[in-house]
Amino acid sequence: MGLVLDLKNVTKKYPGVDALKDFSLSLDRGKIVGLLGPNGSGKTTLMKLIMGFIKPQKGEITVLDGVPNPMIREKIAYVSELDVLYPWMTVREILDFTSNFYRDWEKGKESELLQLLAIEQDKKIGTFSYGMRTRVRVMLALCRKPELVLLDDPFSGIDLVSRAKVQDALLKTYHYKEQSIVLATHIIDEAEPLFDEIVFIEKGQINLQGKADDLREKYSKNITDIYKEVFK
Amino acid sequence: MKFKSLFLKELKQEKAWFMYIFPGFVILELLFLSLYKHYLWQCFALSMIFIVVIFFAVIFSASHSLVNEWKLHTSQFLFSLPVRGWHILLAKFAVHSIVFIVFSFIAFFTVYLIAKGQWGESVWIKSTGVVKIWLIYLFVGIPSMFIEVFPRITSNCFMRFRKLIASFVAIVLFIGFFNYLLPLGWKIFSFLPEATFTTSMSGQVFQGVPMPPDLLTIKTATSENFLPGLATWFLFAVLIFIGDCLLLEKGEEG
Repeated sequence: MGLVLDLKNVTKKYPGVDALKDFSLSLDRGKIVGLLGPNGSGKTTLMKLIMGFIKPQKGEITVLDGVPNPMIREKIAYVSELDVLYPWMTVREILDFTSNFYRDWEKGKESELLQLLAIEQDKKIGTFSYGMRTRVRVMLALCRKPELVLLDDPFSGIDLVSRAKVQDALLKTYHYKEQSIVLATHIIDEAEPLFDEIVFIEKGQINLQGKADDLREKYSKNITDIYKEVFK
Repeated sequence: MKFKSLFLKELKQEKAWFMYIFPGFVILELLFLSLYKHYLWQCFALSMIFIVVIFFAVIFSASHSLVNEWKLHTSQFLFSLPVRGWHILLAKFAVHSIVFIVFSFIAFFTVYLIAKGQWGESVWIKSTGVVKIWLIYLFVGIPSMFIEVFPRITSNCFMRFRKLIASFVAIVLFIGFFNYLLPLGWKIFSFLPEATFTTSMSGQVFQGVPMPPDLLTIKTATSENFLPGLATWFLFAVLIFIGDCLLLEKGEEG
């Protein structure tokens, strides 16, 4: 089982802010990894670096045995924290459009996920609430069978029902041991049972890292309480 | 397949050009054609102005379409797809080129029909001449889209002073092309065949009066061979387009 992600001494600076400082992280394939940290801790920057949207000032990034580039994105599903979908498209149109770019698109999953996430495919994305639009973004990632799924704060700003539906869909479509999921979030309660590994990140550096079960055992607390203690 | 999907997406995104602006534009042009016998210069001038308006409107619409992707964050979705920068840009430019060709054709055709109806084809405006001018218009206009968007893409690679950087790059492009590249290109491409516009009124009948032979010869566009200039412009646009594509992939963080 090789590495899905390998970051060595990565530094990314924005004007006046060090988003990531000498950051190193290696993740094994076939795991669900929770990237936990408060707002501004560097989670989104890390996701963008993995996708190759931005380049680090220093360090090396290896994703699925290659460097981040536009073509490696065929093996990665990325759900942005931002509202990135075209509001003028219907759900059907965005599904058809996106499916043309990926060989791992599973057409059969579409109807199952539409039902599971309670999404109406003939409606325009612009008419949906934020929670519904998040469901559509997650759906686009889950209709595929990529080697790596990057979910950037999919639970942020959405209601409990949407959160539960997204979590349910994640669990039902996850290909155990074949897929790796990196889930960046600061909302841990609902997501906690999903994680195999946890990486706590603060001010661009790893604060604490380990297997979820080991951390629970070591601290005799659940992940939410460990999070509170780490970031108090 | 990837390019086709992007192209169709752009076509839908720009549907306002075809669904709303196009019918209005055609109605206006038809109005000019039906009224020019009563309001000749007004109709003629307005249809000429349309040719200029289309030039700038479509070019700015092309770059606005790209800038809007960044503003609305849809760029993150677009760039998360396994496509290269040239796929994205070419799809955008292809759709805007179609708009440019269709709209400018109608505008030129209207001017031609008014002129022909009023003064007759053989006087100073010929159908072949109009087609030639239209082709030059396209040859200048379509590459302008690649060039206009370059300062915006360049500025997106920087975290600060983006507007300042875009303005600076635009000035450098302008001065660099007209002061250095164009004279150089004119020399390099001097081997290209002669192509000038010469419109002669000699021997024609203008408003009922026959023109004496060799009365007037107007070299309308330039007395020099203009093909080297066009070739330089085209080559410049191709180089800028390559730059657009490379920088688009580099500066996606906008």
